[in-house]
Amino acid sequence: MATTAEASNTTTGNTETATGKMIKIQSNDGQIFEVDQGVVEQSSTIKTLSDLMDVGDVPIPLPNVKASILGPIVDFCNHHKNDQKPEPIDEDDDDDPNKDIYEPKRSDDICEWDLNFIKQFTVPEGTLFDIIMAANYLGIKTLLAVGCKTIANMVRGKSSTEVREMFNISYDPPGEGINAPNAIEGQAGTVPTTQDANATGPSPQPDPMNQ
Amino acid sequence: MSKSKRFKRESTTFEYLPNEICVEIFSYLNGVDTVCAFSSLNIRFQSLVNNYVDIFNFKSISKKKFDFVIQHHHNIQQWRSLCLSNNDDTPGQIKLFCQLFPSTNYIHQLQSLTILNAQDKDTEKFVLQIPLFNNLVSLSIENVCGFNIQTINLPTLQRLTLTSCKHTSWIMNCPSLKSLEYTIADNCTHDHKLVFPKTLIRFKMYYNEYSDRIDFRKLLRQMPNLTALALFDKSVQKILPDGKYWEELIKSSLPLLKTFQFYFPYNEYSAWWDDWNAMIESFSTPFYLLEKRWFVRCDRDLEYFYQGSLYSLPFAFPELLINTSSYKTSISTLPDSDVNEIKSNYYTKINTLIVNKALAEPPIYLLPSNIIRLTLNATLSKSWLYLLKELRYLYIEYRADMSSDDFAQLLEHTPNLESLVISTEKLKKFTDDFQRQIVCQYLSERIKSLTITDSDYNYNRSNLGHVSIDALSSLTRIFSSKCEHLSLALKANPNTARPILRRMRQLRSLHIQWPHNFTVSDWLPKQSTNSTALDFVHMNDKQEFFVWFGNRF
Repeated sequence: MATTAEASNTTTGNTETATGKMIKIQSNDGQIFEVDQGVVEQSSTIKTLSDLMDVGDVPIPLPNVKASILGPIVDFCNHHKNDQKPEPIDEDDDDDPNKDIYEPKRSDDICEWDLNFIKQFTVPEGTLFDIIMAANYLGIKTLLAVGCKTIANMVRGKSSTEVREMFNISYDPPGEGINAPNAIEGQAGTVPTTQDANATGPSPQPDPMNQ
Repeated sequence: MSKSKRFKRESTTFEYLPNEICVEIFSYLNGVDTVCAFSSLNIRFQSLVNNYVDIFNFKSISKKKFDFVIQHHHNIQQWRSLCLSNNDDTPGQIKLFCQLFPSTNYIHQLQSLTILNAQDKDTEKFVLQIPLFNNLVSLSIENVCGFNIQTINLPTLQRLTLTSCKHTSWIMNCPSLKSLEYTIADNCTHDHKLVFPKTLIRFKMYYNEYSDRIDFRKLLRQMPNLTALALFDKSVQKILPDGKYWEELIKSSLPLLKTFQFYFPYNEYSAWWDDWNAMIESFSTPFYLLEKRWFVRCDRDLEYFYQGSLYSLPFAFPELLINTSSYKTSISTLPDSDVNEIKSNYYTKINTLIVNKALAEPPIYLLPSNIIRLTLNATLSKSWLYLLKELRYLYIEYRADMSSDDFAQLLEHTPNLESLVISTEKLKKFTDDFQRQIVCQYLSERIKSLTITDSDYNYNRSNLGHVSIDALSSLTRIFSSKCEHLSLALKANPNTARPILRRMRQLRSLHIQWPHNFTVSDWLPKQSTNSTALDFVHMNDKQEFFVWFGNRF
């Protein structure tokens, strides 16, 4: 049964507020959130759907996002709705606008509020990946960037053994993928990996980064 | 809790992320980190790494990682950006890379190439092959002799960052060049021919007007397309800057100029108070303040009013020189409404301090501080210490002086310090002959890179300082727990020094200057010098001995 989230600040109908028309969105487990235009503008998916559909009082269904993730996303967008939009690159700026295109993007610039926000999502519970996937589905670039930067900061300097452990990443089946005999030929130098000691593929080698 | 319980079956895992998000995560990482973290996991991630990772920066990485990346990334032909470094923490890296990939066919598609510390013959050979890179748009070369590479021709190059001698004629072979950042280095004895292409749109130059003896102003008059000009003068012996001169030059020759940034120190003994006022007035005309809205600030010595520095606002350079002992008479041409900005936004680019004069109080605009490099060539007052909590690199020069108590306080305020460049004499004094426990403990816990510079009494910046066997024993006792990079000069017999150096168990690189001829086998009799050896060993043209350790001693 659909319930209206307490976070919403209106009750029913097409409510007009100081920030414009309110839109209802519905998580895949039936919870309804009311959001204003400041939130809608940050999500390309919600914006497109609300523009295309004359939704009236009917909530926009978001079948890929559950309420426990959608609620914090609404909080995130509410917090950032008054952020200044990034200024377009000025060709006349003193620094060359293209000087960084051959460097990795920065990941050390997550603001304190966002750092605290993302801390509530974890790897063991899978919620960190849920929020990233939801941000991607909803087209919220700023939240997607925060999630990707967080993952990048977690793996920087780590070996593949540590990353496998951190994210519980699966092995290729014995004799398949990078354990396949022809994979070694085609990828000279690749260290084969396998879980199975009786695997038919090449023997596992120690990870030189982890010695 | 067991692993299987930690990851509930219904929870989302990393592997649920679609490829485009994985690639987005990679875009925040140096390719070296991505390869180390994601290759060899399974076929999916191996393929993503091979096909979507194309920015590789090998600066300051261990040889073990270098070897790992070379072995595990199988698509070197698609690398888009590469940085190779011959710095002391990665000695011989470029030579090793060239041995592993003797044909430039492997990397001819590069769009961006950075070569750090190109000052040896092997690297110059590599640089001379760069013209075969048909797609190169961005090039950065550090410490190269322009005379030796004057034949290279780069038709597609748009952006060049260069530290070299004044022989720049080869740059004229880059007809598409739009952006040049040039630092003049006196690193060769060839005749000089300073020229710049007329096509430049952005030009930044670091120079020493006094010692470089250049007249670049004449050259600026031939660059009508410039929209951005930045000039950083490192000299102190210089006349007062003249705004009228620059106004005339810009009006007559640089009609498109929108940004003019500069740092002009001055030290003119014959200047009077009126001359100083005239200097400020010359940068306060309607041309500067109304038409261009270019504002300046002048920091002037209270005691010696004829010396100080004049610079544009916002401060445009990462480096700040402290050449005067007082800034209490600073003045700016900013409108009154913008004066508060001085405390907040205008100095955020500064991350390097070079203190040549003892200054009791730091300039207020350095707050909040982001100083990560400090070169100390004068006494540092205690009131500066609170600015140094982010400091990572400390260079002690010969005029710096302090007691072991002072040094202990400095180390107490620099929790992130990891690199120290200092002479043996200074280090002995600052540590009470290597005996001051608290100082030795700080150094032991923090310093990852130690360079012993030339003696204070016979200082030559390009020479390393000689260390006696006794001092070497003390150094290894103090620095063995963390130090990964060591540079020094030794006179001792290798058979005596080698067992002591073996105690430096964390070493990843070693650089030794040696006063006599010797062979690599004197140092590492069992080591091979071929490219597949665990440790990479080489000597440069100056008979300096380098080891880049693949593991440890």
